[in-house]
Formats: sequence, structure tokens, C-alpha cells
Amino acid sequence: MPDLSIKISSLYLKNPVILASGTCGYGIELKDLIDLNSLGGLCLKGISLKPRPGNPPPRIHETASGLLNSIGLENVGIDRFISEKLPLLKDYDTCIIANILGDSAQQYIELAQRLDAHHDQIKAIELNLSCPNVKCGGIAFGTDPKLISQIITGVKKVTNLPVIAKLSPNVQDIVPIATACEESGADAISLINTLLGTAIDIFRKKPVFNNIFAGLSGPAIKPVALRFVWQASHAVKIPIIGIGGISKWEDAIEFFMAGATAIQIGTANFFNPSASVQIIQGIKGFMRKMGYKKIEDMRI
Amino acid sequence: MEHFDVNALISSHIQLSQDIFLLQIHAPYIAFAAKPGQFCMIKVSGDANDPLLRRPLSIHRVHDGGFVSFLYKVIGKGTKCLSEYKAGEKLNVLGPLGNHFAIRPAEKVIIIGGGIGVAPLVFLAERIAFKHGTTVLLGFRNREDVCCVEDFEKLAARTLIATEDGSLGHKGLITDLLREEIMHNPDLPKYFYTCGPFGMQKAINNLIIEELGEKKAHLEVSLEARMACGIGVCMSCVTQARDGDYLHVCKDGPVFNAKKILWK
Repeated sequence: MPDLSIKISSLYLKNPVILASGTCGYGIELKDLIDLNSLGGLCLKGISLKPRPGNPPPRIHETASGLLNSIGLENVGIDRFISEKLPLLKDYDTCIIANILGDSAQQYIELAQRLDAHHDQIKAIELNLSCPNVKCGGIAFGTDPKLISQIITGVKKVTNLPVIAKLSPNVQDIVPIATACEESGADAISLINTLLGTAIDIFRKKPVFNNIFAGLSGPAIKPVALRFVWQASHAVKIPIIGIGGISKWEDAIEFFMAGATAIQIGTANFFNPSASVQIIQGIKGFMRKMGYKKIEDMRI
Repeated sequence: MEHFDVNALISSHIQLSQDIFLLQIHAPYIAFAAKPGQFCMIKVSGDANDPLLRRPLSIHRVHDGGFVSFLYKVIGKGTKCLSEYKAGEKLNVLGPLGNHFAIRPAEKVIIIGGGIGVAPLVFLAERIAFKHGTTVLLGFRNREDVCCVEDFEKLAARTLIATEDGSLGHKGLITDLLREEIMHNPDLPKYFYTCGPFGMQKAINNLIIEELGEKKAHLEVSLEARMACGIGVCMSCVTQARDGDYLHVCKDGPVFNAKKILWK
């Protein structure tokens, strides 16, 4: 029998399939559709110190095999996250990963501190260092290794939970950024977040989105994501969590072969809520057939 | 609210007019759980990625034996793909989703539908158990777009029609019919339901408030929005509330008390 379990620092996952932040709400919304206990982990909706209302509509636009989004990081804020959302997941046996975002290093640190107090439930913290949709934050962090180091170092000081740096693909070169994450103590890197794109409404002669640019996700971005995973995994020793356009088990295998230790399922959750469960089964079947014993055996 | 993700067999798929289709699937779990006003997310491209997202369609009716039907108009790529499916094929359907209309006593309601927005109102009318004389007002662009009239008439409803070009019924807007009803009906029903274009629902809301006053106006509207997931995780289907917050059409709706909505 193949062993699908993996380790990311002190974090043990029963399998390498995690639902990506922003595509599984606060987890509980999916309870009728999939067995949450079968998942390796759940990366919950990104949380900020204060609630965020998100952007005015339109927030999404479908593209060829892809999806542009400009949600604007809508979330209930850390207080309601802790008091209302987290308790709903207490009876589930999957790894809960909180995703956080802020306008300054100080905000990330404060959020990590608050979440650390709930380490009975939260097993890791993922830092959103990349969201391109919010004017006042996001993109600046993701492109600057110094700012990233500052956030990771600060967060590591206030929590013993494993820290995952989620990186943006909207950079010239991922290697210095991945290296900065490793050097400042990140336990893992997850990538990629959405690719910056846009769409034009030709009849109104206007961009579709109020913010002009939006984040592209879905099967269309998989080859780009795979390239980033390859580059990052060859540049650093810490585990890489591959994200980007994974909708079938074959996609997941490609990511493991490119150097990912685990993967996240994002946009596929929208059009096929069972994608994650099907992918876990598919990985297991492939490993059995090909004689792989561990996930890492698949790495090229 | 319980929902199901099923591969449902298409039992029939009929083209009613140039671009209006009636789709019926066998989906017993969905049929049993469904309430008027709820919707389903339908994958219209099989295992392919184009179009990528499912399409939300309101439940038109449920039938004995576990059948669910959808009445839809082909307006874009998604509905075009859907229209090419044939009876005997399978469709991936997630539902029932969202909240539902409140069921009120038949003598106290007026149902108002515009265009293809009439689709979920037939299900509502069936559950309300119409009595002779219960009023339904339907508005369409022209005779070609008219649908569901027989469905309401079968339920003994007094069905009044308006078309913008006058090709059937009253020539003009549905609000003309509604104003007439309000002005000439001494014991006017208390509860109003609408489904249709945003602009039409806005006009109906304004009219009801104008004629009856904010306090006596009880209007439930069913809204439409672009959606990716239908289950409250993608947060894309927002509409603005009067208090400034965003409401999620898939989870907080699709049925809303009209007073909650910012009718901009």
C-alpha cells in the first residue's frame, strides 16, 4: 500500500491534498459535499485584523479554461473567525491551516499571535504575501524579498506553528524570493497565487473589473504554476506546496514530479466540489500501479 | 440546508421557442429537498473545461417520481452548451441551493414574473396551492418570449399578461398591470413575489412602496448574479444591501426581502 502521508516541519498530513484558501470558505460550507476528514488539510479563507467587505461586483469573469477574480479579500476578520468560524470545525479530523493577510508586517505578526493561542485547532499559518487585488497591500510584499523576510522573521518570533509563505507569480524571478523565505525561517512555501490579468468588455469599451486587473486561476495557469514549483523546489530545501490549475489527479502527479511535497486544489472546488476527494483516490491508484511507496519517490 | 452533487439522467429536453428550453432531469434527492426559489448549479461542459464554471438555474418545477425541471433561455455560451444536451445523456447537477420563498396563504398573494424570470414562480405557485382568482402578473418583451401562462392557468390563477410591443395582452410594462391591481382591488393581497430582470424588480419595489407605504409593502424578490460555486465559498455573487454590506446571492439569497436590497 502506498503511504500518502507527508510532513512539513512539525506538521503531519495524512495525504498531500489541501483545499486552497479562498476556494473553500471557512471549510464548513463543504461538509455536505465531501468528507472533510478525508482531506490532508484545509486552508481557510484569508483573514485580516478588521473585517473586509470585499470589492463591488463584478467580482469574477470566466476565461478560456480559467477564471479571473477580484473578490477583494472579503472576510469576517480575526475576531469573528475565532469566535464563529473556528468552533464549527472542531470535530473534524483534518489539518486546519489559517491564511492571513495584512497591510503591514505588524499586522501579520498580530494575526499570527492571535491564532497561536488556538494551536489546539490551527496546525499551521499560511501568509498571503501576494494578493494583487487590494490596492493598499498585497503586491508590494510579494515582490520584495526584504519585506517578506521582515514578515516571516516577525511571525516566527510569536508562534511555534509551522509558517507557510504563499508567493505571488507576478515577479521577475522567484528564486531570490524563495531563498529569502527559507533564510528567514519559513517552514514551507506555497505557490502560485493568481496571475495578474485583465479582460475588456468590448461593447462598453471598458475593463470588466473596476480595479482593471484581476487574478487568473484555473486549468489555464497550470503550466505556469508547474514551472514555478520546479524553479522553487530546485532553489530551496524547505517543502513546496504546489498550487495552480490542479483539477485532476494527473495534474497532482505532475506537481509531485516537479518537486512539490503537497498540493492545493483551488478553482476546481468551484466547478467540481468533489475534485479533492477524487484526486486523493487517483494519486493512491497511480502510486499503487507504478510502485511508488511515498509521495517523495515521485520527484524527478 | 442539505444539497447533493449528482450525475442526473436527462429525461426530456424540449425547445419551446427559438431560445427557450425546458429541461427535465431525474434527480430524486434534489426533487425531494427542493423548495420554491432554490436553484441548482449545472455543469454544462461535461469533463471539459470550457466553459469552466457551472451555471446557476432556478428550479422551475419538481414532479412525482423524482424529476426536476428547469426552464431557461439561451443567452450566452453556458446556456448554449446546455441546450445541446439530449434526453438520455447525463448532467452533473448540484442542488438544491440557496434560500427559498416564504409560502403564504393563496388569497393574500400576488405573483409577478418578468421574462424568463417566471421559471421559479411556477414552483412557488404550485406550493402556495392557488385558489380560484389568485393573481399572477406576467411581463414579456413580446409574444415570442411568453411562457408558463398555461401552467398558471392550470392552477386556477387569474393570469394577466403585458408585452412591451403589445403582441399579447396589455401593451406596456408589468408595472402598469400592478398599478391597476393595486388601485382597483379593495382587499388587496398583502404579499408580493417577483422574479425577473433587476430593473423590473426595482420598478415593482418602488411602485409597491409608493402605493402602499414602506410599512405595508411585503415584497420578496429573487435576484440573479454571476456565480462560481453556488455554495458560499467563492464570494463572487454579491449584491449591495441597503445598510452598505454585501449580500451573497447564493447563500443569503437568491430570495430577499426587497427592503434589504440597495436598488441602485
